[in-house]
Amino acid sequence: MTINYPTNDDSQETGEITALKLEKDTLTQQVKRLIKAEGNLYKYQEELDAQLKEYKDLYELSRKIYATLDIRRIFEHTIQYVINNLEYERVLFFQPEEDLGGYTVCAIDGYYDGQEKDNVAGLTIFQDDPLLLPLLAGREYLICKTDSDDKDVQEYRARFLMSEYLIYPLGSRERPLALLVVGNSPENAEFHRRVSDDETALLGMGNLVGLLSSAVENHFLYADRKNALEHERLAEEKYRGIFENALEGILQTTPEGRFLSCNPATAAILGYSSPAELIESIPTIAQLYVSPQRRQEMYALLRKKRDVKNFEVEMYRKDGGKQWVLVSTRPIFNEMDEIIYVDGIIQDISERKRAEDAIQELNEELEQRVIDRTKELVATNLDLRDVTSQLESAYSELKATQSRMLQQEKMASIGQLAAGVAHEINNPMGFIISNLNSLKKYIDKVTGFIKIQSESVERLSGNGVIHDILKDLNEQKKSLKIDYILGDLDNLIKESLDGAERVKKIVQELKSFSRLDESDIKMADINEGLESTINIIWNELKYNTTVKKEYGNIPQANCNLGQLNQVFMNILVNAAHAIESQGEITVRTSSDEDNIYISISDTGTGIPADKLNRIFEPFYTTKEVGKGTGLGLSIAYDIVKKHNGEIRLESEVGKGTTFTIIVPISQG
Amino acid sequence: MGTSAGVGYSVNRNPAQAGKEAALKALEQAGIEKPDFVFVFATVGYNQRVLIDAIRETTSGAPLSGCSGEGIITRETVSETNFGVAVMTISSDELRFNNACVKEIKGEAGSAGEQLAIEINPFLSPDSIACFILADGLAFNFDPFLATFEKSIRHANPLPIFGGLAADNWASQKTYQYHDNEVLSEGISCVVMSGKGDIAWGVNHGCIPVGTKRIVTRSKGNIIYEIDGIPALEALKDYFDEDWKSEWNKTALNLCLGFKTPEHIREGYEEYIIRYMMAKNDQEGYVTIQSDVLEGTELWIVRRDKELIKNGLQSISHQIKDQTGARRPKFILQFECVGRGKVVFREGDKIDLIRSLQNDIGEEIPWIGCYTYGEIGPISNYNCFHNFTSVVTAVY
Repeated sequence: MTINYPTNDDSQETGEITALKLEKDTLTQQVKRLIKAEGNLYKYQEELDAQLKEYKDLYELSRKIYATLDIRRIFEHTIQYVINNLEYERVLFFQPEEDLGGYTVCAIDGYYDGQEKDNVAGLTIFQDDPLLLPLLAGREYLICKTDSDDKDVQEYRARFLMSEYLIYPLGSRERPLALLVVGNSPENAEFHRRVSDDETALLGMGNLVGLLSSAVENHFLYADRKNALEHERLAEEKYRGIFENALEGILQTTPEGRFLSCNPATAAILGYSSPAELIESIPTIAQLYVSPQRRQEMYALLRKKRDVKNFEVEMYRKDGGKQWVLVSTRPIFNEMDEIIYVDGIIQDISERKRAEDAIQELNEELEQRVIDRTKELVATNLDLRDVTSQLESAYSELKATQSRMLQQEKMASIGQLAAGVAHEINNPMGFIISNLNSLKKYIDKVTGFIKIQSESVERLSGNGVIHDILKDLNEQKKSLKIDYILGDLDNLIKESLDGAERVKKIVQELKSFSRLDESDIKMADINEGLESTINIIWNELKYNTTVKKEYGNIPQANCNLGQLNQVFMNILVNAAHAIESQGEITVRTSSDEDNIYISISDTGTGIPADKLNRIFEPFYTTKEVGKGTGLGLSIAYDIVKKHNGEIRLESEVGKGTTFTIIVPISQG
Repeated sequence: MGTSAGVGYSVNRNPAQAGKEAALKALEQAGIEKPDFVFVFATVGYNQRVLIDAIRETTSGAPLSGCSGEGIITRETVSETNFGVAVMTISSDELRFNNACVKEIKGEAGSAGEQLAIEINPFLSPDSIACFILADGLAFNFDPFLATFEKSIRHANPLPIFGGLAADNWASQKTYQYHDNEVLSEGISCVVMSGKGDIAWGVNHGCIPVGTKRIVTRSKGNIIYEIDGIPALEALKDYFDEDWKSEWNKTALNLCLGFKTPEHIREGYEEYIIRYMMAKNDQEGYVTIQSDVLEGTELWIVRRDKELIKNGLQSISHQIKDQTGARRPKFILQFECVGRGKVVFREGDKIDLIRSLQNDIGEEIPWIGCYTYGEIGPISNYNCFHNFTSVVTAVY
């Protein structure tokens, strides 16, 4: 077995190769480390760049927000920083809303859907919301990550429309001056800075919030101070204005009465041109009091630490005149209970005083006048009561009269119409009757002649030709019913004459009823009046009534028969209406030396005793509504009364009623 | 009239106001009321629907294309936040803009390329200048896309493609692509620019290898399973810090993968092309990049070098100025990798760098850009995908 040992050359080469391989391996490892180091370098460089940019941007932001005291501008700059530099998607600022007792959205960005923005812009986080409790307890921030399971922060995901968010309170006061919320929606979170509790990740927000808190606090401090100064200025201005322009005098004096200050109104009330003149001219206010006693009284009260209000004092004016003023004062005490100075207000009440005197005088005068006037009024009142009663009575009478006149007017119109119609019918009826009489005579003559002619012709019947003619004539005579016509002609004319006579009679009765062709009062036959009235209203009577006429032999009476006919008509119609089925009306007339008596009796229902004395009242009716006016008997009563007559009435329920009209024969 | 372009931006948190504000500024700067075309880059914190609606309304419904980024770039601002929007409005009687889109591209990069080609073929003409692709950075695989796209488009010459992959600020959840009224995810928004004009561009990454060569020993498509025979994550984990699993997005930024630039484009580019590991699988230990990689491919661990990045931006400026000569660009689009922003530069340095680039190329040129999850820009007439790169395109 041969063992080959390496030569020196071989071993040298092998050694070099080994060394080279080692070197290569070393170099390879160095390259690997270099590549890694370079990768890390780039990574750190990128992070450093990002951090530097963040600090640079934060610096820019600080410059911007410290350059303004407008909180809205501060929020706007911050929002731009959060979105563009910190690269959170959405930002909300809340500010306290005292009225609501919570925080409301005051600045917003990152919501690019209008509906989403509107929803979030209306958010309110109430002061007692569990979300805020940790922050109010001093926690630096609240975080809601995508995997957070805290119920309170989870609930706000939907309200903020963020799947992850951070809330920071701004300002170091117990109650945050504002809340800053930053975060991302679930859809876009991957393209924005993620919400993380990693220290580095929170550093950016921490820096921002530190800066912002300070700026917001400064803003509010400045705003508070500015407001306080402004309030002070306004208050000073307001009170200065009140002091200078008040109508009341405002003054301040030492306890001894030396003026410390006073306003223009004080000077004016006391007749001085300016406060300075008053202060210089009056060493002590005591000399202004007309009654020094009043001042002592007032100071006695002040020393008892009592405010004096509306203390009436008379003071001297600059011109020596006197001036009533109303003084209200308040003493200011030092620690030793000594009065340091006295504040006072004086009001010019001279006008009031004058007015009070005038009012007093006027009151006295008025009281006397009231007493006198009361007496007059009592008397007048009594008179008035009588007059009122009379007026009421007159009014009732007037009303009744008016109604009666209307009814009479209506009746007169009807009468006038009837008379007119009667007049127009009367004349034609005259010649109709006359013509019918003439026609009757002519027919008699023509009938006689025809009879004679027929007999003569009959005698010619022997001649053959004539026989034929006669035959034709007889046939014609029969077919034309000439014999019947000749016989009936007489009846027709007779009936026509009867009808015409009846029309003539009715027309005459109408005329007689209305009597319009006669003067108001004249001698007239009352029986005739009754007859014509019954004929006129016969249609009203004939169905249930038998009219029994018992006319006496009475003289003519001096009367307005037309009006009396109206009386008869009203009573007769009432009588017919009082008869329910069939009955009887009896009309009687009689007379004595002075009067005509017309009685109309019916066998109707009769009038109850309690109604007897009312039936002549206007508008009183026992008939159904709409059937009677209640004026008929009232008018009848008036007409008879005008004739100086009277109407008497007897009635028994179930038996009937009798009206007796008494008319003087002559109207004296 | 020529071409009027204006750029406006807003970082307002309210999407409706931000969109309106940016669009109004853009219109004002362009001096126009109704644009012919609108580019939009925005970050993902906004409600994208509301944002795009506001821009559309303000720009009178002009055709619109764009995507979400990790940040926005204009002459006035370089903002890497979740809330930034940049709008460019263009009115031109010499340039035409036609836009199209493809949806549901995840795992379907090949068919997406073909589909997009079909969509834009009607717009292509001999005067077509370039195509801008804005694709979902979480769902896009460049190589299969490019293969079918270039095969399917009907254009005589290779059409240069520029663009970037939409980002979502490291969330790796959802990116957005904008096409007129539509807000897409897992889609591609595309613009074809045609007419009288030229395009100049510069591409640079500024990364440098550290350590020795490694070999991809198992891979499929854009997934690297093994490096040097061990699971990819196992091979790489020593380079990562302890929190690498949970902070993958940013961890991966510090450890880019460099592959030798293919021969055919090496002349116009740097020695390595860089890839970002956009995803990993802890169980199987693999990593995913945004273009295909073959087994046996050599790779190097690379790191970003600030000096190289600065120098690279100057190089871009030179590249563009060499192309434009005395002609002033009408507007500029910039696609900047998220790995070149605040994750590597301090804020002030980053802004200074971009300002310097802008001023080098020309003052007051309307400029819009965004931070992306990947960049697209041609190298030596080949359309290429990049990571950790700045792609600047100047239309002149």
